[in-house]
Amino acid sequence: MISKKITLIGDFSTGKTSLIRRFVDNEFSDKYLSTIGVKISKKVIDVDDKKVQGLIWDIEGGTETKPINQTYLRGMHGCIIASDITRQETIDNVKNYINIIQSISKDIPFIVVLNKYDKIDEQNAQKIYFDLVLTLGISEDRVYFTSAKSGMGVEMVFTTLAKLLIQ
Amino acid sequence: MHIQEVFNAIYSNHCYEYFVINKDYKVIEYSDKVFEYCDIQDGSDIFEFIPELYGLELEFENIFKGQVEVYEIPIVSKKDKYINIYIYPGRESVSQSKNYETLIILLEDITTIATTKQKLIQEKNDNTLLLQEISVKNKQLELYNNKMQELVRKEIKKNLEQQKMLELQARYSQMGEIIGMITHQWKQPLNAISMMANVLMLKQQNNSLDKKILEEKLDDIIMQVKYMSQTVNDFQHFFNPIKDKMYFNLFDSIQSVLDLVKSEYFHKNITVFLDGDKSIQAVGLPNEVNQVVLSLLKNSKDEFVKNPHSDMWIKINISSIDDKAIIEVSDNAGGIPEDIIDKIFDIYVTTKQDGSGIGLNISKSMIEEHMDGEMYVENIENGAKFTIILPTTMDN
Repeated sequence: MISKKITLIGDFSTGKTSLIRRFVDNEFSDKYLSTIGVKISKKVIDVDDKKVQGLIWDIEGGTETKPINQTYLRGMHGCIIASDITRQETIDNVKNYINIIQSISKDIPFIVVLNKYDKIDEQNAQKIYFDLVLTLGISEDRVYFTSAKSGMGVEMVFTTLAKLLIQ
Repeated sequence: MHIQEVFNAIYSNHCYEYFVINKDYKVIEYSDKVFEYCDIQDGSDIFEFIPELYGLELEFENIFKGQVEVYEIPIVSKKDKYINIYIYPGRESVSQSKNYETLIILLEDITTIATTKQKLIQEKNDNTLLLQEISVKNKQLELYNNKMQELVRKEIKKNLEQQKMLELQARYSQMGEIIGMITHQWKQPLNAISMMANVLMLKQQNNSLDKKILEEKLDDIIMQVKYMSQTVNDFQHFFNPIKDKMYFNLFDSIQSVLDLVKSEYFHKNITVFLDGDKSIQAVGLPNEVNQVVLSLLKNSKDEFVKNPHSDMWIKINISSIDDKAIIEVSDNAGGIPEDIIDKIFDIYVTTKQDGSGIGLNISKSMIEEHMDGEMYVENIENGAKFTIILPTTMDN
């Protein structure tokens, strides 16, 4: 079975740890606990008839004064950039995270998630989605709504990235 | 020398564990307590137990080759502890200098420091989130305020337009009333002119028309036409809009209203009295005051038409108290039903079957809002009395 290093990056409190917890353990907690450093979780991801061992790196979120530690990104195969759909500044910063990934390698596939979808109405969410796709100039199938709380979109994001990793 | 003792002392207080790997990334040696951080076994693949090292083959190679002295992965959370991972070169190759056969991986326990750091970061992030939330709420509040102000502005504009419409409606209604009065006042001179024209025609046919009669009749006709012209002028003046408040003689102003209506009221057997102080100068918009008085006269007249009796009168009295001018308009037309008297100035409230209920509302608004006056009503014996109070001095 092949192993793939998947990193989750993004601003602090965008729900990276919760997304991993939902994906790996199918659990969720409303309590916000800041991640420091890095924590790795493992999960086997089924992609069609193949299995991928996902080594999922939950990396301490970036802040205005402290960007993410790029040491953690060494050797990554794919990346999920998390943003909080209710905090515009975390969405605006997605562009910076894409630049970081592409400065390491242009070939690293990434997916952008608009997390906490459960906290916003559909009309607003759609507007934010299309604004983001337009601003970033990336394909619509690289941006997903997720809700770690309800689980919506979580499995799909990891599976889609895993597919991209074995292509 | 106490080298061994010193090492023992250091080792008993250390916060490091280690393991050694060979070039195949297999574990060949490890310290006693390394299990506290990972479930490592002799000969096992390093990446299975320390997945943090996965993908770092290039970095490992560089250390094996002596090109990098140390590689660090800071603050890794493992088994409820926090560690720093360091990769150092191990035993040097016998055959190749600056090449290494093994690597030493050190795990430094930093749980205490990291936990403190976590708390600080947590506090900082919580504060930042709170500030962001406050900022968002402030923006929302500002947005709501703007929306609310816009709504209020729209509503005020709508009300003003509605008020203007009502005033216009009331004005048209009064114009109709005045046209009726003019018609009434013109009937007599028109008849007189018609008769004089007939007399002149007959005399002409009989050849009995002399110059003197012709001049007399023409003078009469000119006089009648002048009277009619004056009536129209009065009418025009009555509806001429004056927008700025001014001093005006209250008695004269109301007298001009009575001049317009006297003929009609006389023919309906309604006596209109105007009494009081002829010298009072009020401050306001005279035409609007006249329109209000006319409206009150019309209401009384309508009531008299509905319930006529032998002694129908309307009394208007002008007086003043301190710096206020007072107009009292009373009648003996039966008064206002007690159940609606408190609401009689409300819009769409009327005692008439075909009434619109805007006349008194507009009148009160003209007096109170346009002229800073007051207007109220009370029932008196067999009738009603409206009181209008106007200022007599111009405010700043």
